[in-house]
Amino acid sequence: MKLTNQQIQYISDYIASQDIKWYELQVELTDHMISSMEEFWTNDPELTFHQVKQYAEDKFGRNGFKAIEKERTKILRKEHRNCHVKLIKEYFKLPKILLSVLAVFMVYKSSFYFDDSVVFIRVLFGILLGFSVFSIINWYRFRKINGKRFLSLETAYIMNNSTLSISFYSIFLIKSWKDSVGDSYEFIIFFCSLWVLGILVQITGRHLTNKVVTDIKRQYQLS
Amino acid sequence: MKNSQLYKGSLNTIIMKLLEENGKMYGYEITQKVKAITQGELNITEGALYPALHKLEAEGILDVEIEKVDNRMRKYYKLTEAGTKETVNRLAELEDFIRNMQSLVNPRPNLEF
Repeated sequence: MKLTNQQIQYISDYIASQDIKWYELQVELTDHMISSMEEFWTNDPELTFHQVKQYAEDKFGRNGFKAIEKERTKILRKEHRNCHVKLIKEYFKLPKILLSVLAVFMVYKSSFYFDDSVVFIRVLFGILLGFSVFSIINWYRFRKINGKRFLSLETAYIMNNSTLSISFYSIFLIKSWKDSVGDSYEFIIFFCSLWVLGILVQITGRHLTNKVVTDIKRQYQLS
Repeated sequence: MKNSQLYKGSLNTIIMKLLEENGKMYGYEITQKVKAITQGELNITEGALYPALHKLEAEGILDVEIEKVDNRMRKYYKLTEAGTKETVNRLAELEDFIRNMQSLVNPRPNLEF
């Protein structure tokens, strides 16, 4: 027995009301619930709409839809982190490592234009902080595709903001670090390397996010 | 899932095998197919099925396709090129496992004197 359009809409709204705000999960869970309800109804046409809905929902277990969302979040985070680390590792292998070393060298060379290494490091990480803030603004502007929110996209944006904390710590704790370890070229090179790593995290993160967006648009036929 | 501990490790391979045979399938269809093949002996719960599908999708073994069916959107899963190759490996592993378990549970009598 098939559900009417009105009943389908009711189920879709019900799933959204259970705090499932991600489109990919809404589509999947709505279709599963409806298929399951139609089967219950075919087997026993005497059942009411709310009875078959309850039976179909019970099959999702005690924690229901939220447990599936929680699991998906965990899976996506793990997979995104693995992909991100894999991409960054490429910059520590030949031939890209030459580019990374050159970048650290160039940044270190630019420190010669500053009299105070603390000011130099603050400027460096201020730029990185700017990138992180820009990334957050991008998340806010582009977190919806055709008005729909996707957990995979949200995960990608969240995972890309790890440079935010590195920037904050570097800017605000640099003075006390310098006082304790003293001013040396190793000290400056360490921060130059950390900064280049932060930039790599941003670049590769953006690349991964773009890939997620492309995949979503292809899979869900969105423009 | 009946005897869940025994079947748990094979769930991904079961899904991959079904997709290899059927091309593309949606979540509910997979649960029903497994139920039909095993004559109701094996029931994949929703709480186990979707994390398995999402993990395979995240690993690049499965791809997703959306279609409008009966006035609603339906999410189909299908094997990627890498997934098709991986299915062959996982099925070989599963067959080895079954053979070894059979040898352990039901050893052939030793006819040597």
